[in-house]
Amino acid sequence: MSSEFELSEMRVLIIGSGPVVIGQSAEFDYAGTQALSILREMNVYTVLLNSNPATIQTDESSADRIYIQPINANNARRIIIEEKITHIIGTMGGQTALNLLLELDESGFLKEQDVKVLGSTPESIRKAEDRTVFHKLMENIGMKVPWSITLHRNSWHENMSLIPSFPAIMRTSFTLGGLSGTILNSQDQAQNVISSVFGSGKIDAVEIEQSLEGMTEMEYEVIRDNAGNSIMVCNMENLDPMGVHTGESIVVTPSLTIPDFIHQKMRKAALFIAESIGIIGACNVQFAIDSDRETFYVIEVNPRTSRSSALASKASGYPIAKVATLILMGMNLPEIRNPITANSSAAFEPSMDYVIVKIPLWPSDKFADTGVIGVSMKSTGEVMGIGRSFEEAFLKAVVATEINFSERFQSHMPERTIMEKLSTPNWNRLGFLLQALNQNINGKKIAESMKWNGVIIQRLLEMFRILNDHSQNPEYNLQKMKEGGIPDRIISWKIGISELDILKMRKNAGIISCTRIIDSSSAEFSSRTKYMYSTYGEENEVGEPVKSSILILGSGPNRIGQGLEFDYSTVKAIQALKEKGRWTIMINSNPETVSTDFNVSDELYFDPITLEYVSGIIEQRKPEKVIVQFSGQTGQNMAMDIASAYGDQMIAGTSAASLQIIEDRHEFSKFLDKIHVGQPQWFNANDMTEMDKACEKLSYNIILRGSFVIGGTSMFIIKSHDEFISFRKKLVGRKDLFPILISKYMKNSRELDLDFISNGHHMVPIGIMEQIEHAGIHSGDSIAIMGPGIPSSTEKEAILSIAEKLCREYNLKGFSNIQFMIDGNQISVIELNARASRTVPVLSKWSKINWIRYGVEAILEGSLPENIPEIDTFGAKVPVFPYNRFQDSGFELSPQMHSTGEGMITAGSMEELKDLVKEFLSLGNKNTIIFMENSARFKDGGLIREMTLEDGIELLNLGNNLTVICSNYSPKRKEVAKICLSKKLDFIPDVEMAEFLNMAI
Amino acid sequence: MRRYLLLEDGESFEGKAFGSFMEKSGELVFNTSFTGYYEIMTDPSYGGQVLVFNFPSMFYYDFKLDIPQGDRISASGVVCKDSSIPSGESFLLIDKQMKMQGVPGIYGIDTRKLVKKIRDTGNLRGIISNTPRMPDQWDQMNTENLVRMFGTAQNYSIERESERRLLFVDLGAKASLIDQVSKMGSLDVVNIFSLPEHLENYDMIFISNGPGDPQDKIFHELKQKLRSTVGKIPITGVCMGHQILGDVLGAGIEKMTFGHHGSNHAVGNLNQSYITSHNHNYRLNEDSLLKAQIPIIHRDLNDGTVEMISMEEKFAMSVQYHPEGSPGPVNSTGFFDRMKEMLYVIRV
Repeated sequence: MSSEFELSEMRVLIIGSGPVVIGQSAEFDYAGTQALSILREMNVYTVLLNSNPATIQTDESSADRIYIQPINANNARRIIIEEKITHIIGTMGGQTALNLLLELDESGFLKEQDVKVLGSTPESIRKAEDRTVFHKLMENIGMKVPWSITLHRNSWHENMSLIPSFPAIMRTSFTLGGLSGTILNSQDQAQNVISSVFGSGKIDAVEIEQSLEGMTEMEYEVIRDNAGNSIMVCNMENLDPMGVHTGESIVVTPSLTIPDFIHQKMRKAALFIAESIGIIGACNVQFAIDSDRETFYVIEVNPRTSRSSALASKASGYPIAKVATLILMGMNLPEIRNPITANSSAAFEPSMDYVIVKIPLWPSDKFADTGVIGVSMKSTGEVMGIGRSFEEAFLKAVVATEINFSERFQSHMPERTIMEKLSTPNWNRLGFLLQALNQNINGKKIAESMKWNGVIIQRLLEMFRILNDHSQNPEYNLQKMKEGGIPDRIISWKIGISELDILKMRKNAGIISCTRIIDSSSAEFSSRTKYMYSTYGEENEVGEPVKSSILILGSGPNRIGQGLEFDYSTVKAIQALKEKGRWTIMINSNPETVSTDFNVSDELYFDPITLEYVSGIIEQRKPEKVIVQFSGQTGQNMAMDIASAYGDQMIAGTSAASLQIIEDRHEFSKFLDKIHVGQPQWFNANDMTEMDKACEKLSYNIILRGSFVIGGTSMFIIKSHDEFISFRKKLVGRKDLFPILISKYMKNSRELDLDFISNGHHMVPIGIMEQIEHAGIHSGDSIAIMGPGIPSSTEKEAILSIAEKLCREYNLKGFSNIQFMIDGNQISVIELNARASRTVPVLSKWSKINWIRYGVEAILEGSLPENIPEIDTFGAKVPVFPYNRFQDSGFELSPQMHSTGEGMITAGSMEELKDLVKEFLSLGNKNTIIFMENSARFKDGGLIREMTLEDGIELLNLGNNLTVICSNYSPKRKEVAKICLSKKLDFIPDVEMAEFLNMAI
Repeated sequence: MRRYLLLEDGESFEGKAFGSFMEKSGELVFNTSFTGYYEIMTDPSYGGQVLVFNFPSMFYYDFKLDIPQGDRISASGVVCKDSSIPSGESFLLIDKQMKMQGVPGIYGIDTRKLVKKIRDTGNLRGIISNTPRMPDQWDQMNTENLVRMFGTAQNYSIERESERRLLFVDLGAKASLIDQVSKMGSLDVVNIFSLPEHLENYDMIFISNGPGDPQDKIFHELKQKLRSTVGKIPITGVCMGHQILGDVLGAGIEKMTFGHHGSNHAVGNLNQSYITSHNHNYRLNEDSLLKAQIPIIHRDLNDGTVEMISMEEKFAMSVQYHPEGSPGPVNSTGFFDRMKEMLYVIRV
């Protein structure tokens, strides 16, 4: 280590990535958490700035000082001064952190305060980030880059003719998740698009670049040290061609269709590019290679850890962020110990004897979007499948998405229709690919239509032939299908037998999965790390099971409503179990998470969280119990199957039987009536007539809930009789869609959220949050506050007593969450979830109490904590929305969750809290316009003008610096939101929130 | 069709057949690269060995895009995991080629288990067989036959517009290696059975890679001639050439447990590291190098194996790894640059 680093004198600030948004998610929690753990091992004083309470990195144990505050230059400056920061790391928190680092550097502040940047210098980062500079540099070092020109606001019109050819792609610099990339197909279209971009007023220049659409996109993950040594950790081949963002593409690693000679050329180029830019640490280099495998272009470089580096770390077993941090601290590759074999150096390139397939996950059930995917990101998360063949890895990834594709196996579609569906990259395309494979459509046609490599499709077709040939007689042919690598769930979709029955069939035939170890060396060296995956028909490597172990189910891919916050709980649970001397076994399929860091649990299975793989672990590792409480809905859905296969006692905490009753909304509602606990008026309709009657009785607005999905959702708000009539039409002749639960949608009630732990007899509240928005708005989409006096003591008493009743009735053990509706004096229950909820991390961070540990004690030992102190600070949880991703969404707050993540704010008083929320939302504009149900109001320097909605819209179109507040019930909501989005105006999605922030007029 | 891989220690693996129907045996070696399967199969250093691919999902790209390292498949047999061998054109062609050249293949076996076995026992022989019956006796590796088969049959020259002339001793050289060295000057490519009378007439002697045991008596004459030449003109070598040069300089050769076979090995010292391509079962003994006072330049960063030596005062330098890649990294490790320097700057 170089001498300029006096470890004991270092005070390092790490910048996180903030709330989860599309394009920036849990992968940066993983990177930042690894970086912090390395610094702490070196006894370096660490300070973290991150506003995201759902992360592991904002857990008390992660850093010496944690600032859960908005990530902006003001806060960073204050922290740097207050904490006497000496060094800063801005390459572990995605684009957010990188941009802040550059801002601090450009303003001269870092220099002024003598803060040194660890790793790549700001100058180097700029070389990679500024596309013009980057292209020039690449050309200078002899790399091929797509042509590129810059158009400026005041001269773009004259210079349009400089665009050499179409299609071309338009971007603005410093983009996140490829947000502002747009494909230009013709001069006319380009004219329109560019004119609207400059019209918005905030952008001064756009870059237009040759489109390489249709080529194969490749990524190379590079680490480079202070001495100039570099390695390629792994390469990745995008199966979707250029034109589909790598975050939206199905990806295989290592590459399969690239010959060695050209692979080595790209590898050499990647290392050379890292050197030319001056990368110290990790980076990701993207190439496009033509179909002849001869010419390749450099696309871009991410001069930081990225989503791809998280994937590469999990895929190869090589912890990129960890090694990069050691390099940032002055060490070089040859002297860093190999993190996996622990006895040699980190200067090696992992080799794999398995194949990895990544499949992105889109919020197709949440947004009324066309679902067309392209150069900008729409996916919220991803899964990784590992197999001993590409086909096995692919199908494991398919089932790991937890999407139900059974219809694709059960139905038959005309070939022409399938081909049409395959021809546009779309978030539903995977399903139609399965349909095409299942119908054994000509592979060349499929490949041409999807612009995928023909051999890849051919291999998948061969796999489906095994499925088709053997599924007629599954009992005799199970062995062949399993050794071919076909997951139970696929077989279940194909033959219509439940996964539980297939499991029984397999157990009878003695076909049990076997465990293989990921060692980053293809078995060339022995590994001590228990990082594993399941396959069939091979040797079992894992050894004897460890006594009294606990299996913890992860929560799978990040999606809206089930994301990073569950991973926080999972990781904390593992830590708590380890402290208690328990041997922990983890299963998860999400490469972005901290829980899939192989150092977190004692044994890590990277497999789909389905009955098949969970049962495989139970059979082989014989855990004492399985904890499903931290797994979100994924574990809840599986608990009953696990209990029927391995007995009730296998599920730790609340029993599977209880979970099943609670999940059945009808049963639950009946029970609430029985114990005289209030609930919104409800009816169960078994047919059309009953539904009509119920709706008449309830009067609008009403909520309909079914066990089916239409237009991506199973919950429908009906606001008028007209809406009901049109909804009703969809149900005609569909008796299979009943029963439907119908309840009153209360427009003006308050909502309280209670989280608690219990042991079946007693409960201890973790915290109560009050929603700012009205009840009925999904709690994940509402700002929620907590603190002294929230709610009033009478209300608190009342809801705790209800919770106590439910706890005893259902014998709730461990975590639960109840949502209450308050209408005057009337308290009613909306929902009970007998599992750790999304809000446990927020409450834990706010209270600074390790609730997960208490919960684990309640689950395993039945003990509950005593003398929990009252918390005297205020906290707010503020959701963030992906409005700018889904052009046609209505931006309406509803019982359906749309937010991707959240920030947390804490303060000493309510007033301070409000100010900080405003700061978090960067609401800086003084002029406010508010859209109500029938009219609009405009406040201009204290003067308030009443106007019609139409006038309001007109004003919106004219004005630039406005804060726009829009009632959830305004009929112009969609229009208003679109204008706000295109003009980047401050947008407050509802009046309640504006009132809370004292901004409503 | 069923086929068996039978191991010397009595264990057997059942798999499916591809390639030739002949039964072939040899020492089992594995390779960890995920690209370049055809380069690997044609690498003459694999002569007499049964090649096991660690990477399980092969044949996705047209092997004709790979650069053949010899004019035939060198390995005596090929073992892979792929449980469903594709019906694709590229695979069918390679299957046909293996049939024509008498190279049997077996697929659909647990290669990871096999690799661990090779790793733990080392020096394991196996036979690709059409029956599960163990052979009565195992063929010994015959280095002379291998060198005759894979080294050039006829001596020939490659003329370049260059003042320098190198003697290229072909022990079974990879095509890419000949290609790289010929960039430095004209070559006289010779086999060891017809070495020129006087080696001193050349500007440099280069000893290539090749199959077999570097301690075999077949190399006595070569080593003898080199001993009388060393110090007079520069001598360089790669892989087996490195072992032979080390021997000539006074070091000893030893057999490794399972060798290095892959494209991902880091070599270097405490400050510098290079990722390089390896394919060797033998190495120079470290103690003997120290005793002979031969400077060690690079080691393998994983197990410390000596990967580069250089005796400046004797103008002798060699590497154990493959600086020419193919398959494997083509980034400069400085070896060829240094060679060029020796050829053009140092006048002996």
